[in-house]
Amino acid sequence: MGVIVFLVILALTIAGGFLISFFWATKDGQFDDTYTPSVRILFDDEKEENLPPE
Amino acid sequence: MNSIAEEKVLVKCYHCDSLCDDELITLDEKQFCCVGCKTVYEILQENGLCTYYDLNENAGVSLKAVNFAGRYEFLSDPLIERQLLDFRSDKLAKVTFFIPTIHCSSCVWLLENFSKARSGVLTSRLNFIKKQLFVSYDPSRVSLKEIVELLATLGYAPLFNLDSAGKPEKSNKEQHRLLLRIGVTGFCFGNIMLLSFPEYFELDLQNNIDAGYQKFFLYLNFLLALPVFFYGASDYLKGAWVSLKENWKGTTRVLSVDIPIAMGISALFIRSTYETLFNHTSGYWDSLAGLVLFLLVGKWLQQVTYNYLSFEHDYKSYFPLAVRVKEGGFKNVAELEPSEVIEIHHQELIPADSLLLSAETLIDYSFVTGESAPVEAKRGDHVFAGGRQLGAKIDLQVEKQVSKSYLTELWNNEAFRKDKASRTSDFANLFSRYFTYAAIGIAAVTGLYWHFHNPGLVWVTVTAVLMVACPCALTLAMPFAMNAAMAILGKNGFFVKNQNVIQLLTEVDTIAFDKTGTLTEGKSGKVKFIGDELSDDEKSRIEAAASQSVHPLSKLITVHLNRYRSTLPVTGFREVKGEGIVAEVAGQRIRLGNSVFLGVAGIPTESGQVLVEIDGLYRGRFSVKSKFRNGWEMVLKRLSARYILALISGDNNRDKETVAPYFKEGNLHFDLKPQDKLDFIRKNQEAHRKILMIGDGLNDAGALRQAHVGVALSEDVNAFSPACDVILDAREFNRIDEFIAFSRIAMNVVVSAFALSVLYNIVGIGLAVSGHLSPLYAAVFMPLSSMSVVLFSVGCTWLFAKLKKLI
Repeated sequence: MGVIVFLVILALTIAGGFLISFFWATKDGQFDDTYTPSVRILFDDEKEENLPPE
Repeated sequence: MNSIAEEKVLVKCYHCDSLCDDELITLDEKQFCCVGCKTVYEILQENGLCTYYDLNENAGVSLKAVNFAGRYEFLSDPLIERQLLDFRSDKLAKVTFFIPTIHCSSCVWLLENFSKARSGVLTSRLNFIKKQLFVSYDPSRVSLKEIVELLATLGYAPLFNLDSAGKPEKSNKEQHRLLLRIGVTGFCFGNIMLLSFPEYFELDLQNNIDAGYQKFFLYLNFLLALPVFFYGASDYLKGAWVSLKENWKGTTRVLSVDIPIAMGISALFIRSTYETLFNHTSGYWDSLAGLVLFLLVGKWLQQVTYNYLSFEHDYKSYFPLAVRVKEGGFKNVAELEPSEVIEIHHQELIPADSLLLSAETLIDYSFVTGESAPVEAKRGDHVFAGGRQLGAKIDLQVEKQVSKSYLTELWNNEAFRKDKASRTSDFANLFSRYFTYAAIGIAAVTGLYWHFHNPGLVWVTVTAVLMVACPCALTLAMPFAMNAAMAILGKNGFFVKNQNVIQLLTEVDTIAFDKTGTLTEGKSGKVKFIGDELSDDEKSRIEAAASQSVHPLSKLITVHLNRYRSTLPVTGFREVKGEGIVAEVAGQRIRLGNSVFLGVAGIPTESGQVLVEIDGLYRGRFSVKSKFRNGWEMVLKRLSARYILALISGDNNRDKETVAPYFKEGNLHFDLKPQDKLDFIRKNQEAHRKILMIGDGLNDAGALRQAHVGVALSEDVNAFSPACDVILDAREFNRIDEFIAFSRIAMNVVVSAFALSVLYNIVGIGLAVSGHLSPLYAAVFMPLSSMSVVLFSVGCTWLFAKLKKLI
């Protein structure tokens, strides 16, 4: 008995953590632009030969 | 294929992919079409930004004929600069640019790495959909003007207009609020479902352990349902309360659809609370959470719009941000006061009604009136805001503030103050009135019946009826079907502002067209030479003479004779405003103009005729007719079968004969001012006509706004369109009848879905009235009915789109 109550409350707490992170993400504006990040992530790191000649 | 035969192989620009036809510049074994493109390549090369070309070949924006010398001078004015910045301190400044030319992933890469090209730029971040670039920089090391000029050099010129200054960052608060509600409700819904499962499998209450669990789950469900009811559903409860109050005061007779929803939700909540706290039996918590979640998702769909399009532009988007004042420096156009003296250069827009101080000039009012021929103004004449100055620099004395100008007065018209949505009778709202009364009626009858037969069942059945009667499926059918229709229409270049517009489209019975730019293609015209064939040499000479003039007819002739461009010397050029031009081209005297100017008799004096005289000899005339859009005749013919068509043009009547066959006598109107167009629409509305207006320019803005549905035609949908309900890609103009027909189909789908949901309601109410609606039944029945209605409406909409070949 006790263990199920404990597990349910634990599960709710963890899920609640995700809910809070969802709040944070929304207020941070992460859902405002859902397109650009998908492009941005595909860019490679700077190639050697393209670096500016110093 | 045949390029082998040709001596000159087609060369495409390494930067922008346009053909290098008139000049060819080579650098590093790469070809460029113009100096501008080469410059961009050099800048990128120097700063190690050539990844730009690796991402997409020929990614650049063509820089042909781009000249911005002095165009951003106003940005060095501290006052203007301050109005544009989002944030400013000694070491850090932040600014948001709107850059219309953003088009591919290379743009994202370059603009986000743009800080490498100029020291002092700290970070830059792009929102691709909204085409906004957020830049932060160190103002002590680089100025705003330098950043903008670099961006412009690279082909990404930020756009500045009167609207860009002093505008507080538009927050996405509404959107965020709804998202948070969906998040919270979704969280509670999932957990309630999980905790309700044991109940579905019938706990053995005689067993002590089971009974203990049951209580635990029950109270947990109760706690989880609290945020659903008080937070998730609060908009519906508030909406219902407001609607009730308004009905009580008698300001409206429409019962908002929020009322039956709020009734259902409240019944669910109160009944479940009672069951939980007093009977210790399971309530309808899962149904409640599911219902609210569905409703919120439907609401979210309803808000979906085309983020990258703007339907709300007013004159401010067209007007320049700053203007040069005589006493030096720049001034924000919105702050201009009467009696100030301003300087306007060639091709600049006149920002306010003013008095001309210079000797004479030509002003092109096509932007305001649709009339294509420029108007001549002399010292002391009044010139109006919105006119484009052609020719040398002029001085103007401001007479009125920008917002009180002749043109901008249009925006003070009440048509712009009223919110369009409020003028419509929302279908669902209309429906909900009967629905609410029916639900209350059935609940009352049920209550009375059980009161006499089995008083114990009154409370159970009455709440059950109210719960089931909640028009959830009903309110979902509309947003889902309309959202699908919006997506389908958007794919075809017909972008509606919101779901409401599709409904408005179905009510239209009259269609009014603008001519210039709507039925015809922008400013281009069909030029035809009538007379004996001219030699190539003569054509070159005429081209040379015509290219000296800024008159639209001269420009069209220049374009028409583009192939004969030469370097012949032009001397003694003289233009008689409104009559014609005369010039000496390589020893021959060329005269172009109307019959009065040339003194030729027997030629029809209609407008759009340019007579040609070479060395005193009349050779023939150019006839310039507007070039109509592809398939315009067919689309008008198809539309006229169902709608009354009218033409309201600001231009003169030179095309009257061409368009006359498609309009009924008396429905053709020319030489209308913007205000006249608006009045035309209003007059027809007073006769209870529902008008759809199709236009393109600022001169149609009033009519577009006043009309039942305003459709703005746009060659480039990302460019500015006047405030409207629909933005239509100009290439799809000849399919407009299909789009309107599809809106009717979508509406019929919604009506069928409504019928289906009413059917469900009847079944559900049957269960409720007889007292058989157990929590398990409700948990299965309510989501099932909602889901099937949603699937039906979305499925049908796509199916019909497929049948109509819209996808």
